Amino acid sequence: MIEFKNVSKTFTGQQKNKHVKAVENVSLKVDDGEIYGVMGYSGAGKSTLIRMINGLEKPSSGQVIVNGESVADLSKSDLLKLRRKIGMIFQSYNLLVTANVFQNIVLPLTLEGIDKKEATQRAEKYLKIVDLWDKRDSYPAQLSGGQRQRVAVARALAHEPKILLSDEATSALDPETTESILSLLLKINQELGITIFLITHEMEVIQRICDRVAVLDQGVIVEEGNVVDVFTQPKQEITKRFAGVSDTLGVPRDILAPYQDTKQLVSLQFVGNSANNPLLSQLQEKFRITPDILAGSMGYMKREPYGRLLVYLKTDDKSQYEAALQYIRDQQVHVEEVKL
Amino acid sequence: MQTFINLWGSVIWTGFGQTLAMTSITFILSVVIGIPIGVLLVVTRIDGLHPNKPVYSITNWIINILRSLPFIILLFLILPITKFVAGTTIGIRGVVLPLVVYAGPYIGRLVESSLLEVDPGTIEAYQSMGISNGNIIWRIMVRESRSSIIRGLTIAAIGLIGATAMAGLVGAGGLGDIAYQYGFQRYQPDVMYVTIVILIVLVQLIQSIGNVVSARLKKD
Repeated sequence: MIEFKNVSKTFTGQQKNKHVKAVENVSLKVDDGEIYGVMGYSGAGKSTLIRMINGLEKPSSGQVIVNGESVADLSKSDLLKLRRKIGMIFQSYNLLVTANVFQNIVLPLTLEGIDKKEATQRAEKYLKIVDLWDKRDSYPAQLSGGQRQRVAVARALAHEPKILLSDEATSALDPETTESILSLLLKINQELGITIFLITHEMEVIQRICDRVAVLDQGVIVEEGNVVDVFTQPKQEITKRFAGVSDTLGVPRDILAPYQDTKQLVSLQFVGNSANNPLLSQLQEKFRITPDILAGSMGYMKREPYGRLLVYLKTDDKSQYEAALQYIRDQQVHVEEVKL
Repeated sequence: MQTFINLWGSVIWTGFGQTLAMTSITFILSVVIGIPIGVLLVVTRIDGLHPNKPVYSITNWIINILRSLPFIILLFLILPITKFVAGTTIGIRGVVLPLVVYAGPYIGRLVESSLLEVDPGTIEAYQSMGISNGNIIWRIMVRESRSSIIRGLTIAAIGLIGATAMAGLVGAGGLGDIAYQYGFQRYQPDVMYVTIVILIVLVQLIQSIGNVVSARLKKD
């Protein structure tokens, strides 16, 4: 388990009196076995935050507690031991360019005193898990970005960690490769039970694999919770921007203007089972409202189907309209009138 | 041709041997001293693995002083120290210490710049895996920069050959000395040309070996 207790980190700049607050009063808790994501723009303090978990950075105040122990208070040798139980992968892979894939896994193991035979067995096991056993003799320069990241994942896994830290691991990859790395991380989480703590500026990463998310803005957590809740009902402007949730779903305002005057323009959000109900056709049957769909999007959050629709509910009967809204709410669908 | 060989063959051969001996002995000693100096500079710098401002500044300062002295000045400047350490100030024995003092800091600088080329991300990755600083320095940083270090050492070896030409001043002999003594002082240009050709071939050979080894070690 990872816990941040009122953690702040201030960097002293070149001039003595110039301080930069990277992280401010952050408290959060990551449970064993979950995938926890921290999202923020660059410069938000994500990198500093993730590095405090394995002691690459030390908090200026507050505590980071991993497996019941305060990281900053560990002795040098205990810190090394802790780090061996925390894997880390990076945006730039950080493999040895002078070593082939196999050596890239074996060398760090032998450097921490694991005997050659055991190291070799682990390299084989984890290279097979990441599906790169046939590339074991290649050098990083001969591999694609996605393959390099797989080697980095295998290198991290070979230490058989309880926790995996991911520092923008997919940010340098194209969408297809990103997807393959994300499903690999999901597989690791589910099959090996490894807790994953990741930082990213990519909304898709959070949606695809995270259970919970914290949104970091200028060192402060502005929003936190289950991924579905945070993204279906974002409260902060920055979260909305990340979620791409403009209420209008990208439809130009002048097109919406005539609809908006009627005050019957609504946005609907479906999550989970509610996304499977034929809601719109029921509106027509039950309330004789003709829904006019102006825009929509469908997707998945982890395994939950999730959809958004921008709908004009066409009816002259105001009471039918109100009843329809109530009915929609009863179906566990989030509904909101759109104000331009 | 035959007469030239009869007349000068043994002189040039001896000189060649002296040059090789001086260069190889001082090169090995300079590497043994220079690599730790380079490592020390990289490790103690402000963003190094063990930042230590006094150690870094003093080392940096001493290296700069030694590197600002032309070899010929250095040779005479440290005569008393040479006498104390080597027991003599003449011959090959007398020239080894000045050559090492000249080349050691130079190799230190070259190694420093090679080590600084190692991707900081790679170093951070090994820190994150709980690898000790000693292992990161000697097994990761030196390994990753080995191709660049070899290129630097090649430059240093060639520089040393040049410096040995001045060793004749303290009676250590060598090809450079022959070219100077016979070719220039006694005006026998054929001797000078032959020694020059041998030096050129030697330098080309060392550079080629360095290039091949460096390229083999480079994997990216």
